[in-house]
Amino acid sequence: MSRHLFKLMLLILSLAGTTPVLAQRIVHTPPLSVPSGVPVSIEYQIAGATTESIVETAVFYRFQGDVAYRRIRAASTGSIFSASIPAMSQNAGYIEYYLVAELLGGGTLNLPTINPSENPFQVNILQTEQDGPLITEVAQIEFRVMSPMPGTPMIEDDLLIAIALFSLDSLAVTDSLRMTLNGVDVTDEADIGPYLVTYAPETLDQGTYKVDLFFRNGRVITPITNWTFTVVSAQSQFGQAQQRRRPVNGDVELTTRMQSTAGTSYDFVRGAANLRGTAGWLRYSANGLMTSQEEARLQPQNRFGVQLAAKHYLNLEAGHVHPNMNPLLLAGRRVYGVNANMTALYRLLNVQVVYGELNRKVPTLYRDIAIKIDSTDFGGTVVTDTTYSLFFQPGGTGTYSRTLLASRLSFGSGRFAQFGINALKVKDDIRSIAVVDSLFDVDNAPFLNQLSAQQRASLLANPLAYQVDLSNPTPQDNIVAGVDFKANLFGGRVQLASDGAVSALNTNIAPGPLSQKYADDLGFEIDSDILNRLESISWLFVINENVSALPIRFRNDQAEFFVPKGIFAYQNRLSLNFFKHSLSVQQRWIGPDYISLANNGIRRDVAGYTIADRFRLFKNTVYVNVQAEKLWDNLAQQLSARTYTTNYGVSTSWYPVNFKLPRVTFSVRRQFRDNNINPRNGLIAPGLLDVAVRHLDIQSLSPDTLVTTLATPRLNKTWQVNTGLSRQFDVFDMVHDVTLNMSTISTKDEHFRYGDFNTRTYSMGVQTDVIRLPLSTNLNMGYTQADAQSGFNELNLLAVVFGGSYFLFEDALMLTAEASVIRSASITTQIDVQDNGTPSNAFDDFYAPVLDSEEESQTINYIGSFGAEYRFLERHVISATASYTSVQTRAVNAVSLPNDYYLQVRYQFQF
Amino acid sequence: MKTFFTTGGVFAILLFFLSLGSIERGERSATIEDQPRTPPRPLAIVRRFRPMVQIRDTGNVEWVEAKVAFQLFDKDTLRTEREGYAVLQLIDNSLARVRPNSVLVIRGEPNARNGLNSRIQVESGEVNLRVEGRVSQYEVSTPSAVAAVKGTEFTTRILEDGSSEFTVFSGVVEVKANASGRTQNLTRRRRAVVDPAGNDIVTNTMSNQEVRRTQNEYTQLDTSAKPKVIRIRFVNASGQVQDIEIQYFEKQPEP
Repeated sequence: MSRHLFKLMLLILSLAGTTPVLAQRIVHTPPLSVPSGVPVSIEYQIAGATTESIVETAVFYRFQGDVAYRRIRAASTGSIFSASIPAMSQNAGYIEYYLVAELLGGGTLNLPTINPSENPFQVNILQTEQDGPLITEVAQIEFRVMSPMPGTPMIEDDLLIAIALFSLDSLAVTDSLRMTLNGVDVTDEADIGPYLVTYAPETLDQGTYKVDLFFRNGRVITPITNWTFTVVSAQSQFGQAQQRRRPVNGDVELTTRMQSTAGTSYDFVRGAANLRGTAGWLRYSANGLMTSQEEARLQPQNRFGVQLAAKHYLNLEAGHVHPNMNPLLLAGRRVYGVNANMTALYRLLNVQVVYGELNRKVPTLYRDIAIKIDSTDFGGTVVTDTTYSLFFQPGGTGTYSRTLLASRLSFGSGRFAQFGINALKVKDDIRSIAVVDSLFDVDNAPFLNQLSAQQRASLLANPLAYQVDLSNPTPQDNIVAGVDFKANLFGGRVQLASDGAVSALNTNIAPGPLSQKYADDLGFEIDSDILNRLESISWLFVINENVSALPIRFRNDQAEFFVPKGIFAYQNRLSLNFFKHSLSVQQRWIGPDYISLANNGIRRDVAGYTIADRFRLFKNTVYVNVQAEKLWDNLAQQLSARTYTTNYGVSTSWYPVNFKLPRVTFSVRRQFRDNNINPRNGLIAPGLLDVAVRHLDIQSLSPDTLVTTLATPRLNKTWQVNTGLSRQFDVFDMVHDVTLNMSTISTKDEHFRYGDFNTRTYSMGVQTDVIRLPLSTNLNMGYTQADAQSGFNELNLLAVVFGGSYFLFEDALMLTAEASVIRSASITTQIDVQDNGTPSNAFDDFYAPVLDSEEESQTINYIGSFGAEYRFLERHVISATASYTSVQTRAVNAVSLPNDYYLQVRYQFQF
Repeated sequence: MKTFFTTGGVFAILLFFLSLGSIERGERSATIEDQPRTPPRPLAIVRRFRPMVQIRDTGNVEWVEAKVAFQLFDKDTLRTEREGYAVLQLIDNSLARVRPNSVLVIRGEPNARNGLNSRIQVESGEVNLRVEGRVSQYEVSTPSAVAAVKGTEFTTRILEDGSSEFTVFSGVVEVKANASGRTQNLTRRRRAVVDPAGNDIVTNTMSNQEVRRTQNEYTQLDTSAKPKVIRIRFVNASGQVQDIEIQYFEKQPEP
C-alpha cells in the first residue's frame, strides 16, 4: 500500500513539473480498430483550454514495425481537433499513436500522459475479407509537373509541390486523388482540384523525397506520376550562388562577316566584351567594341566605356556615353567623355555634368590644284580666263573636333515633382583641321608650290581667280539654356511635363567676333561699345554675321540688340488617366532658329496642339484611339506663307481573349495641308493654272506693272486607311497564325494636276508551328501598288518569302532557312517644264508630261539564306548565317547589277 | 483602279470567310457554354512573392493577400505594391515576374495541347515573361500595344508617359501598335517603344550590358522573394524551451 502511495506521490510531482495547470487535459477515445488501406481520422478535445491558448497540437504515429514516429499536425474545428493518419503503405497489423498539445504558457499536454512515446495507444488494423493485394490500373492522365522539377533541388524555405492536370473535368474524380510524400499520405494537407494539385509543406528536412500522385478507389490504384527531388538548405544554395557570383561577370562576342552589296565589299571582324560586378554598395561595369571598320576618316567605330555607381548617390560614366537631359537639349547623343550624376538630400538635389567630344577631327583631303583656261573670241580679240580650283578628294571633306559641355541642376526626386535648369555649350575647335580658303596663307605653301611663278603672280594679281570647293566645313558654336518641370499627382493619374529652351548658333566662327572692318564692308556702322561687348563674351559665344538669328537689327543705319523670337522652343504636355481613359493634351512651339547641335532630331519651325484620347471597352478587348492635331509653320514670318497641317484620326482594335476568334484592327486618318494661297497667274491660260510653274500676283501701277511671285499654292487632302485581321487555326496538329493586312494612302492635290499619289499595300502572312515536330515555318506575301505624279510614275512590288526553323538536341541546335522572291516593276513618264512658246519669259512656264518618255523597268531578286545556331556548355553560342541574292534587271539601257552575298559567323560566351 | 477593285474584292472575300468561320466558332462556343458548368481552370499559381502582393478575382472588389500556391484564374487581377514582387508560374511552366508597382490582369484558357492561350494585360509597371516550350500562345497587351509571343523571354513596361516598352532577351516577339496597326518583329536585344497613342513604334538595340543588367535585376528580385527567418527561443521559469520562427522580407534598396 505504501508502495502504491509512493508511486502516486511521484506521479503528482512529475505532473506538477511538466504541466502547470493540472485542470487542462486531452480528452480522446481511441477507436477499437481501423480498416486497412484508408486514412485514420483521430479526433480529440482539450479540456480547460481555449483554442487560442494552444500553440500547436499534433498526432505522433507509427505503424507496426516502424522505429520512429511521424508527426502530423492537427487542425481544429471549433473545440475538436482532428488529424488524418495516412493509409499505411505496408501490410501492418496495428498502428500506434499519441497526442501532444503545446500551450501558450509553455506547458505541454500529452496523452497518454506518462511517457507517451513508450506507452502509445495501439489500435489494430482490421484485415477485412475484402483486403487483398492492391490492384494497379493504368490510366492516361495528362499532367505537367510544375514544382519541383524532377531531379532539381528545392530550397527548404521555398517549398512547393505542384502538378497541373489536363484530363480531368469533374470535381467528383478528385475525391479519390491521393498524394504521398515518401509514402506518407499528404492529401489532406494538399490543395487538390481537378486541374491543379498543390502542396506547400511548412517544413521539410533536408534529404531526398519521392512524390506519388494516384487515384485510389478501394483496392484499385491508378498511378498518375511519381518523381523524386532533393531538399537542400538555403545556406548551401546561397553558398552555391555565392560561388557563382564572381567579382566580375560578363560576356564576349566575336563576329566576322564577308559581305558584298552591289559590288561593294563590307567585310568586317568585330569583337565586343562587357564586364560588370558589385562590391558592397558599389556597382561597376566596363564595355568595349573593336571592329576592323574603324577608320580615321570616320567617326569612332571602336567604342568603350566604364561605369561606377555608388547606390543612387553617384553614377559616373566615362568613355562613349549616351547622356540624357532636357530633351530639347540633349537626348541620348553619343559623347566621348564623362557623364556624372550626383544626388543628395534624399534625392531632392541632383547635379549632372557632361563633358566630352561630340565629333572627332577628320582632316580635309584636297586634290592638286586644277587649272582651267577658257578662251573667248570677241571679234578677233581672244580673251583668256584662267581659274585655279581646289576640290576635295573623294570622301575628303573634313570635320572639326566638336566639344560638348552640359550640366543640369534639378530639385525634387521626380516622384511628385522636379524642376531642372539646363545649360549646354557645343563648340568646334578651329585649329583641329586645316581648311584652305586662300592659297596665299603661309600654311598652304604646298598647294601654292604646285603653280609656276607666272601662275602665282597671275593669281596674286587676281585673287578672285581662285575657287575652292563650296563644301568646305565651317566651325560652329552653339549655346543652349533650358528649364524643365514635371509633376505627378494622384498617384501618377495626372502628369504634367514642360520643357523650355533658348539657343544661339553661329554657323562659322572662323572670322571671330564681328569687327568694325567687316561692318564697314557690309556698309553700316557699329558702336564700339557693342564691338567691345561682343569681344568680351566671345569666350562664351562668338557673335558675328554668321549667327543663325542675329540679335542685331538696323534702324537708321544703326545697329541695336534685340531678341529674335525664333530661337525659343517649348513644349507642354498634360496627361489625365481616369475611368479607363488616357487623355493627353500637348502643345509645342519650336522656333525655326532653335538649334541644339547635341540633339539634331528636333523638328523645327513648327507649333501646334495635339489632343488624344485612348480608352478600352468590353473588358479591355476593344481599344479605341482618337486624335486631333493642328500644326503650322512659319513661326518667325520668314516664309511667304504659313502652312497649316490638320490631322484627324480614329483607330479601333478588337483583341478577343479567345484565340479562336479573329483579331481585327481598323484605322482611318484624314489630313489637310493648306497654306491659303490660291493659284494665280494671269500670264497663262486658265486651263493651265493647275500646272503653272510659278504663281504670280500682278498689279498694274501705271505706267509700270508689279509682278510678285507667290508661294506655291498648297491644298492637299489625304485619306489613310489601314485594316488588318489575324486568326489562329489548328489543323493537322499544326497551329497556323494567319494575318491579312490592307492599307491605302491616297492624296489629292487640289492645286496641282500632277500632285496626286496613291499607295495600296496588301499582305498576308502564315506562321505555322508543327506540334509533333520541332518545326516552325513562315510564309509571307506582300503586294504594293503605288503611283505618284497623278499616275505618271507607277511602281508595283511583289514579295514572297518562305522560311522555317528546325530545332534539334533539345533546342540546343536551331537550323533556319529562307527563300524569297522580290519583283519590282516601274513605269515612268517624265514631267518637264514647257516654256509656253516664250523661251525668254519664265513666268508663263508650265509642267507637262514628255511624250514618248515612258520607260519600263523590272528587277527580280532571288534570295536564299541559311543559318544555324548552336548552344553548348550552357554559356556558349555559335551561329552562322549565309545569304545569296541573285539580281536580274530588265530595262532599256539597264546596267547589269552584281549579285549580293554575305556570310557571317558569331561566337558568344557568357561568364 | 480596276486592279485596286479586283484585289480589294479578293481581300474582302477572304475577310468575309474568315469572319464567317469565326461566327461559326463563336456559335459553337455558345453551345458549349450551355452545357453544365465545369469548375474554372486555374491558369497560374503564385510561385514566390515578396509583400505586398494582392489578388482580386473578377467577381470581387476585395483584394486578397497573395500566398505561395495561390491560384489565379481567368480575369484575375494581381498588383504589387512599392516593395512587392511576384513570380507567377503558369500551368505550362512559363514564368511571369512582376516588378514593384505593377498591375496586371491574367486572361486566357488552356488549349488542346496542354498549354495556354493567354493574354496578360499590363496596366502599369513591368512584367518579365519567360515562355517555356511551344505549346502555348501568349499575348501581352498594354494600353497602346499588343505583343504576340512564341517561345521567348521578354519584358513589358509601361513608361511614365504612358508609352509601352518591349524588350526581348531571346526568341521573337511581334509588337503591334493598337492605333496604327503597325507591327514590328523584335529579336534578341531589340527594344520597341510604342507611343501612348499607339501610333508609332520606335526600335533600337540594347547593348549586352543592358541585357545582363536587366536580367540581374530580376535575379536579385527573385532572391529577395525568399523570406529570411528569425528564430526566437523562449525559456520559461521552469526551464521549458520553445522556438518561434518569424519569416520576414528584407527591404530592398531602391535601384
